[in-house]
Amino acid sequence: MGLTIALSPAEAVAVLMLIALAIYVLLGGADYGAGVWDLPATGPRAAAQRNLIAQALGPVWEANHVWLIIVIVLLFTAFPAAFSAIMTTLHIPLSLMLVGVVLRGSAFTFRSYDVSDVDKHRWNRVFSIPSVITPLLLGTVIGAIATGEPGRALATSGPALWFSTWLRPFPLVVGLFALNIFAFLTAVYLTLETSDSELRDDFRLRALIAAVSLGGMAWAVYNLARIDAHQVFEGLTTSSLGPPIRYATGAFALAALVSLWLRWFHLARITAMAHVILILWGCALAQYPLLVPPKITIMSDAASPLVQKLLLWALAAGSVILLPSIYYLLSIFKGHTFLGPRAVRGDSFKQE
Amino acid sequence: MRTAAAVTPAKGLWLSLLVYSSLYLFLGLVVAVLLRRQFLASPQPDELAAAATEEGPH
Repeated sequence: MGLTIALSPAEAVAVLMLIALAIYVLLGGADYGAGVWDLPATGPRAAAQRNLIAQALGPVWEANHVWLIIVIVLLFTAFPAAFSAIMTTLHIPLSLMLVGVVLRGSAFTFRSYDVSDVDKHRWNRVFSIPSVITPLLLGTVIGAIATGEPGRALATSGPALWFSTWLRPFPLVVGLFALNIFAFLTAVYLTLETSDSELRDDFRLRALIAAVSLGGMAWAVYNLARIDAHQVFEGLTTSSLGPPIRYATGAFALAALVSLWLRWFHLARITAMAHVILILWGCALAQYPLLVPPKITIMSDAASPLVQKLLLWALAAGSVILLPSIYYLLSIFKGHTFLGPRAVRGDSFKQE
Repeated sequence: MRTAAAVTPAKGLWLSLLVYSSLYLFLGLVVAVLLRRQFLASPQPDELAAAATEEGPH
């Protein structure tokens, strides 16, 4: 509770939104990445790769999207003006994203219930193509908000079909960046999902490629932000926390790359997760206290403090159920990925 | 606030309506087709009975 004393209720809600978004990126992001790696599955182990992806994803994919729902509900309850600005000026990419979420979820379910292999393969495509497009759009929306175009468009124009708010270089590059982040995370996670060393090396190679291209994307995003999202870019350069976060992000990226190279897959997973969380916190820090640049901030837009306090209580009450459930789910279906080379001994203990 | 005052300033809402309606119509049709396929692929009652007698009671 020390946190809520130091922060205003609205800021506390904003921090919780960021935490939920970070968990969404770590869990739901991997879910999109799984669809991404389904597409280029080739070679003698293509079927094994697809099976591994489906097995890794099957039990957890629905739960992973709880976190996005939390972020959206918090946004419209706690910060209605920001919600309205985002949902109206970016409704085209958001609608397309929603269609993508619906299609890939249904296709994943239909695949399990269809009878013939040809049809299953077809559902695979319906699952993996939106898996690429949806995170691209999610990143585009986040990038578009940072440029300040949606905020300006709402203030200046009348009713419109808004394309100029998001069809710009910076948002689209942020979209590619998000896709790359998700693909990287998934490839790293999948190295721990199999005991087959060839299959593990397939995903190790994919993770290494994704890590290198992520470095290039980060460079592109940083340089485009200077031109296209300068208000946010200044936030990153002027904040005293900016440089330490940037160096830590780079350090964790290198650590992930080195541990992948040395096949320390458990360390690779932890450093990759830390790397991605730091990217997200860096972006949030750069934008703070703006929710929708150039004008809407956490302070200016917040619903009344009573609403924020009730929200915090509701979240506290909800997390009593949500957090143990998620822990239970992950410990059942993902517990095996935490067992290292010494797992054999651990298993024999369990059986005794 | 009336509905007319609350409506989004974004244009082309009819297109959204059309896209979402056809999407869910399509998904509904797919569910019907898949249910039919499952139904056709599942064993007939006499086949089930035959299988049960072969296996015997557990």
